[in-house]
Amino acid sequence: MTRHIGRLAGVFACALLFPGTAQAHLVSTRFGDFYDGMLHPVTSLEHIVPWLALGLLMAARPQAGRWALLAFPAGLAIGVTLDAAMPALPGFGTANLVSILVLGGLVALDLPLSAAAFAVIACALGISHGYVNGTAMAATTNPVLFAPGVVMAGYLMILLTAAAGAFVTRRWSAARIALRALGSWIFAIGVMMLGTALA
Amino acid sequence: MSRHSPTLFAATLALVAFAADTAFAHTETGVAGGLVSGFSHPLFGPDHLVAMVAVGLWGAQLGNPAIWVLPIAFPAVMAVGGILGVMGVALPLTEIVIAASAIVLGLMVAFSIRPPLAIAGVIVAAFAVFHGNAHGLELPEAANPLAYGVGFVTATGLLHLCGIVIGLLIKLPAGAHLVRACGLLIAAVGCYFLAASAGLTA
Repeated sequence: MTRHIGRLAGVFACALLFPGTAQAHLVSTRFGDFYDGMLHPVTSLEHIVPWLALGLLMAARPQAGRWALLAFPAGLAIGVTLDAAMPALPGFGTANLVSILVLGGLVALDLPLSAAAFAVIACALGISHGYVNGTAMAATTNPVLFAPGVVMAGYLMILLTAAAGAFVTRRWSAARIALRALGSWIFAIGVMMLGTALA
Repeated sequence: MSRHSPTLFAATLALVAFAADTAFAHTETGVAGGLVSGFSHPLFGPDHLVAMVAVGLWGAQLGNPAIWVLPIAFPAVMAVGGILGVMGVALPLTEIVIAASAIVLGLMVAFSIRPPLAIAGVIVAAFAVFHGNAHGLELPEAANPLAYGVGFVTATGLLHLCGIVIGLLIKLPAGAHLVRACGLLIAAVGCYFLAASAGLTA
């Protein structure tokens, strides 16, 4: 137990220390289109918050939730491809804001979602967010490199969040309540963001 | 838990403090600026701060299920007031109601009043709308509205957690008295802000 806590503290410390330095350097350097795709979603709270929420939703129901590990990256790939084929379709920005409150609400309510429900939600979320990430592509960006970058970022984010969430909720029952409270925070953020967008 | 974990906890806290410090030093605009202003909004208004801690204290006093229903329900209800604020609708008497929330919730804790969960929920929810409204009014002007929202919701939730952690002291014999004393203190702070909003202080 002590070792686990020690490691957890270490990982936590690294996670806290690195974002500052990472942001300062990588954003301004050109690593290539794959890394542009990978970095774009993780530098915007508009994507980070709902993706974390999806990870938390999976953490609460790992058995059914694992289907999102396939459906979400697939959705992202479809979304970026859709943007490359048909740019400037309306409505995806608003859909992403709605996704924050829907996913936050689902985490807070702790509903027993089925595997099919996870697949549908994750795929729809992926398409919408993939599309908006795709709009960040410049004329010179190669979608064949950019799209896998976005897909990889999404896969890693939900995998790590779900794994960490499932780990702590299985060990401490209070963590399950913390998870739901976190869902409620995300719901609140989503409601206000939608209000800001529509006001 | 072993004898190492307090040290690790302290080290982690120290890292959090240092990491936050470097982040502040560089950027006051964009995402960082929004996060800072959102996170500090509930913390630098002592009337908000004590009322949120009171929610956690009361939840801990009421025990299961209030201890987890209140912190889960609060942000969702607060968002209702927040969205009104975002749309530019300022609720009337916000300052007075927020001061009153600290007095009422503080007294509930001080006298260890235990109404049924539904009544406690309605009292807390009514105040949550006003707290959310006060934060939400400033959201559209933030450097990054989404970051501001993340910041103020997180700060509010962490204040609930502070209240719950202090409230867990009720399991100790002297702790129950300490928690009630905290409630009294919170009510006193609320009285000060009520007087201030009525123009009675300098």
